[in-house]
Amino acid sequence: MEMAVCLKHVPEHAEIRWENGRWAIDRGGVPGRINPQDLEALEVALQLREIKGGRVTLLSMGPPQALESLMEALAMGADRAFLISDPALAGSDTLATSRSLAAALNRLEPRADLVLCGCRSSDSDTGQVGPQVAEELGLPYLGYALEVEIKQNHVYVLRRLDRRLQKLRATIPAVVGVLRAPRRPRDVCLGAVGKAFQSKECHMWNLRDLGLKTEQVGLRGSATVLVGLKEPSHGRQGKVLALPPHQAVEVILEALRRNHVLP
Amino acid sequence: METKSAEVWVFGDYRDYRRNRVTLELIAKARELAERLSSRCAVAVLGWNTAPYVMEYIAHGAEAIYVMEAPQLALFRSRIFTEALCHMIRLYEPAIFLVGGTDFGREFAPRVAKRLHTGLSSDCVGLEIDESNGLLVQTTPAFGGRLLAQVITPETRPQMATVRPGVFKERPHDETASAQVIYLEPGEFCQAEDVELLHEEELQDDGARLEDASLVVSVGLGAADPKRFQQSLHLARLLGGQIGGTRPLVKKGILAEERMIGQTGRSISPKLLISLGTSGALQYTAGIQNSQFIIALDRNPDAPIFRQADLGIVGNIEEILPRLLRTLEETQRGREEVAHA
Repeated sequence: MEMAVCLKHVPEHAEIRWENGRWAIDRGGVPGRINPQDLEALEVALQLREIKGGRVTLLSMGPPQALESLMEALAMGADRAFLISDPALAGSDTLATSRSLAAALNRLEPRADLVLCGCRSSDSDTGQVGPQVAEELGLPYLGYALEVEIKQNHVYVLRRLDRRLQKLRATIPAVVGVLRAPRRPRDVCLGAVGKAFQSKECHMWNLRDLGLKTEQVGLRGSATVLVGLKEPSHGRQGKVLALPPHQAVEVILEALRRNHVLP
Repeated sequence: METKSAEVWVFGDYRDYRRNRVTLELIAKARELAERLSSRCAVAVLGWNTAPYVMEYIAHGAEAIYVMEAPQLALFRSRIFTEALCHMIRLYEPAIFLVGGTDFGREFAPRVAKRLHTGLSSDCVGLEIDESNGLLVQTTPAFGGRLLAQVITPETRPQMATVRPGVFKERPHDETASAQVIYLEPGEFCQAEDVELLHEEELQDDGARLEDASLVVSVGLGAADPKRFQQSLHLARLLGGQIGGTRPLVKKGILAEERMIGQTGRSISPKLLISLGTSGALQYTAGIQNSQFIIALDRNPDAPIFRQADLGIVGNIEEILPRLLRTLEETQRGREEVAHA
């Protein structure tokens, strides 16, 4: 069983500042981590390997810092890792991102029988990359997975979709978007990261390695253009009162009456 | 560069029709956008026995309906729907295609966008036409809702967006409305599904009640001790509402996961939200923005939640909450006595 897990290295928190009349996002020096749902996908892959044997390959697209996440995932038990990193990839929307990831998946030797990823990333939260990778590869996509099983050449997925619980089946190769693993993702013991660093394969691929041209990725290969960032105006009244308890209760009751919760 | 019909299309997601209003909300918005573009708004309906929904969409403001009927389309499955929608879009070239941000919508819209090599923004909370160039400006939350990004799709068509439910208001039902209905032949692609649905059951979903509730009491770490949590639960019951809370409470095992509010939990849109001891982390506030009125209680005057609330009360929850419950119980008893008198 050849499995590939797509991981995104996401900032713990991006520093956002208003600078010279525009929003600047500072990711430099901000610690990153494995996108939580991708971690669930990795856990699913490791559990499947325990049953089926085979290999778990990691794939990430991002800046060189993303190696930290790949090392951590190798320490959790994955077998090898590939980082797609190239300055030309900066500013890729999901269309361009899925193009790069699909190109990398097509270059893996041997090809993956099962591609796993999280359903959404904690930073951009579009949930679009998984389905778009499947579309680019021409493979079935099974999202929102809670349980994943392999029998012969089929993948079975239990998933939650819009207040329904569904049991799905598809022929492998297939792409599975994981919402949650049945078990909590395993911890990495101290020292395992260093060991992984010394003993496991970790490759870097740039655009040329993928056989892609600069106009297919990054800003030029993206269909959407960011034209502005603004602070949400919640349109809230924002009245803040520091009150002793009996007055606080009065004010709350008044608000309940005004909003027709109480007569 | 502009397409020939330049219509504004909405995906007709009629599953769970009574409860899931996002398609109706989008028709209202699409109609407004279409007026700006001097075109018309249309709904793409795929399925089997869809006539009642077609009528509903017309009554709610659709000016045209494109219908594809086939037994294979009775179930919402993303591969077949992708194929069918791409076929329709290539035929009629709408300028804009909007999809409700349901689980299904957010799984199949990316595939349509990918196949048509066009852009897609997700979970939009605002849609406007830029008068200077006729482009759709899509407002989408960024950085966990801390900022709003404005995105355009300048070159490719259609301009696509998935839209957060509950953001736009549906139009009133008008039985006298009429529209053009265009029936399309289902093609070969109706055989194309690559994922089999073996079994499906409706979830008796606790969290759904939270999403549909008109009043929610939400609990954070500042009210997470057992006594306070019980009181919060009691408050929700007294006011006929639902209980929800933040991620730390789920992690502590105090609250069921389906009642978690926030970016990775439920998005709620009650008429009134009472937020107790929630400091206002981004992860949480992303899920409460559609509440009509927010009352927040916290002991820390600098808690970010106060910037998101209509009414913020800085005070001691341990004293305020029991007192509030006592008062509510007394008022209720008083009302019951009057009723029995």
